[in-house]
Amino acid sequence: MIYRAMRAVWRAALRAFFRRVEAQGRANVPRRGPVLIVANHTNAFVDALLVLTALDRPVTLTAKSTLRKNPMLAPLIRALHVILFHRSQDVAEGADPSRNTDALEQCARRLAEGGCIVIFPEGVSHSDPAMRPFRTGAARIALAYVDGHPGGEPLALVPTGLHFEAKERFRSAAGLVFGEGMDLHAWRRARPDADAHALTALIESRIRALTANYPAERDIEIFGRAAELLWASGDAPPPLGQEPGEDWAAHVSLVHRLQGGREWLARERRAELDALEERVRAFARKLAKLGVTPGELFLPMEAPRAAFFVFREVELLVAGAPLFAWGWLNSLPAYALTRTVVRKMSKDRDHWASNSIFMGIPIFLLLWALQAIAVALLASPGWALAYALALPYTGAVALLYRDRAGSAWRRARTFLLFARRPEHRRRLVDEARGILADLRRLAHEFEGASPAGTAPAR
Amino acid sequence: MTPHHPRPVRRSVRIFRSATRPRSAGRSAAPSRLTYRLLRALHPADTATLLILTVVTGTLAVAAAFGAPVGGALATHAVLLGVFAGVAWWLGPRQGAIVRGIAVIATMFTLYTTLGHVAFAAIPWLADPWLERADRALLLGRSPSLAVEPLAASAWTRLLSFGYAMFIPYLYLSILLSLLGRPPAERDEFVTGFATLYALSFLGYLFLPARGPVVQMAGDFTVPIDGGAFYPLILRSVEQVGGPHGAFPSLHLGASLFATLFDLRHRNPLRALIYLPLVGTIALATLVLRYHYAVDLVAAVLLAWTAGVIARRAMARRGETAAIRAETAAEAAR
Repeated sequence: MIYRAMRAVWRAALRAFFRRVEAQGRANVPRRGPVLIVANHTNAFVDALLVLTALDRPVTLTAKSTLRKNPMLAPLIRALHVILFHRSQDVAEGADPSRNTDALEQCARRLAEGGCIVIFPEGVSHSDPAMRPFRTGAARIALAYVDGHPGGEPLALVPTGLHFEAKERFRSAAGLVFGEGMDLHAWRRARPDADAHALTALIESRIRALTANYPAERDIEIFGRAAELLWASGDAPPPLGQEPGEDWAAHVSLVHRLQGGREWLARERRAELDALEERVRAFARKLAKLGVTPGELFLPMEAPRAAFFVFREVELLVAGAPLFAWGWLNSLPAYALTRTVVRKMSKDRDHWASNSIFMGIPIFLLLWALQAIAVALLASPGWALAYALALPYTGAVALLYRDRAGSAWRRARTFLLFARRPEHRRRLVDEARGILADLRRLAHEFEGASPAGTAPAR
Repeated sequence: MTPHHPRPVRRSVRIFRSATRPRSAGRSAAPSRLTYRLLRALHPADTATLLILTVVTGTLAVAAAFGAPVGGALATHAVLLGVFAGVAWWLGPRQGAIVRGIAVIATMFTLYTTLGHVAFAAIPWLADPWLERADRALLLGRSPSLAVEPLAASAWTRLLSFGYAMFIPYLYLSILLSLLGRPPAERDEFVTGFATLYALSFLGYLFLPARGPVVQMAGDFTVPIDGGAFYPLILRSVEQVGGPHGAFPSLHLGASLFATLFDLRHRNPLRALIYLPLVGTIALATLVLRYHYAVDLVAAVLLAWTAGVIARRAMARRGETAAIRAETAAEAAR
C-alpha cells in the first residue's frame, strides 16, 4: 500500500520534472518470479525512480549505506525495505564493507521470494561520457541466488539502459529501455566454472549495447548533431501536440552505427572524416545561431498550413490562458522555493533532477496545504477543498501549457524567420541535404566494407 | 552518455500490432454472408450511420403502416438514407477521407433535428415517466432535478448557462480540429466514434422519446430559472429545433465528453484538461436548466466511453484486415 502510494507520487513527480518519460521493452521484464534489473547510473535517485515507476510489479531498490544518515531518507528507506550496500569509498562516512554479506543475503532472500531487485553495477552516479568500470556486486548477487537455489525459479537478469535528453534540465525528455532478459540458471548450467568477473563482463556488454557511450565529452556533440540530422532526414516535423515519443533504442542503435562508421573512416580515410566532422560542426553552429533545430529546417512553408497552425494554437492558448494563469500563480511559490533549495543543495549535474524531485514533493505538498488553509480561513472549508483539489490539476495544465506555448512560439519564430529569408533557408536545406547524402554514401561504402548490420542505415 | 533528440516512436505501430493477431486471419479468410461482406466493405463510420438511418426509416415505415402521421418524415429519412448510401458507396472503405467526416457529421446533425419530434408521433409511448422514476431511484427516492432546483435562481446558473451555450462552439471546434488537424487513422477513429455515439444515442431518442424534466415536471418546479444573458439564447436555440426533445441520453454531455476523452487518448492532453471543466459545467447545466434527467447523464458517460472503445476496436480490425491483405498480396507477388 505504502509502496503503491509512493510509486504514484513519484510517477507524478517524474512527469512534472520531465516533459516525456518513455519506457521501452517492458515485456522483457517477467511479471512474476525473481528478476535482477541491472542498469547504467547517470542521474542519481532519478535512475531508480525511472525503473520503479515503469513497472507494475514491486521493485526492491538498492542504495549506498550512507543515505541512511539522511533524516529525510531514513524513514523512506525503512518503509520501502531498501537494501543498503556499504561501499569501500564511504568508509570515512561510517560505511562498513564487512556488512555487505548481510546485504547479499537479503538480496538472495528477496529473489528467493520471487522479488525484483534493481542495482546499478557502476556503483556510483556520474556524468562521464561513457559508463564507468562495473563492480562485481550485481554478478555476486545473481550467482549467490543461482548457486543457492539450483532448482529454484529461474532468475531473469534484465539489462536496462537509462537515457536523458539533458538530465538536469527541467521539462526535458527521459526514458529507459529494458533489454532482453537472460535466464541466469541456464547461463550457469552452460558455464559451471564462471566467476563473478565473467558475469560482470557479460552484464557490462549487455548494458553497453543499450546505451550510447562516447570516448570523450566532445564526441557527444558531433554524434548528437549527426543523429539529429539523420532523424530529421528531410521530413517535415510533425504538428505540435502530435509528436511521437522518443525511441531511445533506435537512437542508441543509430549512434552505435555512426560510431562503427566513424572508426572505419578514421582508419581508412582520416582526412575525409575530419572534413565531414567539420562540416557537421559548422552546420550545427549555423543552426544554433539561428535558434533552429535540424527538424525545423524542413518546416512546411505553405500559407494554408501556417494559417491552420495559427488557428489551432491560438484556440488552445486562449482557451487555456485562465487555467494556466491560475495554476502558474498558485504553484509559483512552491516552484520558486524548490528551485532555491535545490540550487543550494546541488553541487553537480548528477543531483539536480534528483534533488528537484525529492525536495519538490514535500515542498509542493506543504505549500499547497498552507495555501488551502489560508483559503479556508479567508473563505470557507468547502472553498478550501475545491481549491486544494484544483491545485494539482491546474498545476499540470500550467506545465503542459508552458511546454506548448514555448513550442508554438519557437515554431512560429522559425516560420517567420524563413518566410523573411527564403534564400537563406534554401541554402541551409541544401547544405543539410548535402551532409545527409554524404553520410548515406559513406554508410553504403561502410556497409560494403564491413559485416552486415554495423553500418548506419538511414 | 547523454544522447540528444532521439528518434520519435511511431505510435501507429500499436494499431499495426493488434492488426496481426492470428485470430482474425482465419476469420477474414472464412466465407461470409452477403450482408456481412457488405458491412466489411464499408467504413465503420458509414456502417454506423447507415444502420441508424435504416433503423429510423424502418421504424417510421412500420409506424406509417399502423397509421401514424409520419409520411413526410418517412420520405425525408428515406432520401437521407439513399443519399448517404450513395456517398458511402462512392467513398468505399478508403482511409482518412475528410469528405466522409463531413458527410457523417452532417447526416448525424440532420438526424438530430429531424428525429426528435417524429419519434413522439411514431412511438406510442412516452419515456418521461420511466426516466423520472429511474432518476428518483438513483437518488434514493428524491428527484435530482428538484434537488438542484435551489441553484436555478443563483448566480451559478448564469455561469452554467454560459457553459451550456459553449457546447456548440466546443463541439464544432473539436470536429474541425479532428478533421483537419489529425493524421488519417486518428481522423477515421474520431469520425467512427462520433458516428457510433450519435447512432447509439438516436436509438434512445427513437425508442425512449422523452421531453425532459422541463416539460414532464413543469408543475413540480417552484423556482424560475435565472440564467442571465445566455439563457434567452439557449431558449431560442431550443425553440428553433421545435422545443425540448431527445432527453435520453444527453448528447450535450456525451458528445463533449467523447471529444475530451479522444483528445486525452490521442496525444492532446492539454486540450482535454483545458476543456474538462467545460464538460463538467455542461453536465451540471443540463440538470439545472431541466433539459435532462440524471440517468440521461449516466447513459451519456457510458455511451461516450463505449463509442471510444468501439471506434478503437473497429480501427484495429480495419488495420488487421489491411495487414492481412498486404501480406496476402506480398505472398502472391513472391
